[in-house]
Amino acid sequence: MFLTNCSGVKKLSIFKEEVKRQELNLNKPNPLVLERIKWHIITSENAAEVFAKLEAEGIDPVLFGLTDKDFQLIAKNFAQIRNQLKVTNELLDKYKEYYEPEVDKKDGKDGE
Amino acid sequence: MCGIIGLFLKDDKLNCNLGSMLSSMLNTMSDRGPDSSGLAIYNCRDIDKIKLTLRSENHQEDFKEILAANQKMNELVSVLKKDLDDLDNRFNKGGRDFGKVAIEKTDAINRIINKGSDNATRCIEISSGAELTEEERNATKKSEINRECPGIANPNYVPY
Repeated sequence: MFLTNCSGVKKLSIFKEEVKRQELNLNKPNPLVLERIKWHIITSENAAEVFAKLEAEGIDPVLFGLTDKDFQLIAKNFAQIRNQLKVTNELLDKYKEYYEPEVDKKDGKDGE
Repeated sequence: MCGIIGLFLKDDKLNCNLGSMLSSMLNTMSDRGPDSSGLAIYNCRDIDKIKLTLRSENHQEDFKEILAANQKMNELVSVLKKDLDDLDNRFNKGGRDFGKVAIEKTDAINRIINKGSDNATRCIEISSGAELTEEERNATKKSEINRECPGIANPNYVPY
């Protein structure tokens, strides 16, 4: 048995219509909610007092330390990290404003 | 970002088509250099170089958004430098040794660094997109601001 199907070739209509690219519309990441940490200053004079206080509060009498110089460095590292976060978020906003200005217009803004 | 196209015409018969070929090349390049466009023609005759530079009359308008975005990015770089200088100043003001001060005034420095740590943590939350609180937004006095990052945490604070 043979089955055949045939069809004529219809003339194709060729037209050009600009199809707007779909907006990416990724949600921005949720803002961080960070834990607050407590610092303890230990000197040779107050060390026993600090450990006694920790034990009294039911906290393991062990501390992870930094020198005063390293404390200054960690403060600067934090400043750099937060600036990098800010820059990255601003970059995302600026790219969105530049390439998807219609989003602003929908909100009733002038899209500038 | 720029685009560059070169054309090496070996067939003399095509010389009369040079203009149309160049115009289509320039059209192709139009998205790569809306600010200005240059055209140079080199050959072996007496006048061996011709250079034309074309520039949009309102190129400043075309680039307004780009310039504004770049300005914002530059501002953030300045903020970082200012924040780092401010930290240096607070730790080592007048050449003092922060470690020695911490030994002499342990309780006071303990309070200061814990407050500073909380503030720095809050700065990271704000930088990651957290909304400012009313208190942060309305802070105008030095005693009310987040000293770790007043530039982003306290928009109404004007330092004197």
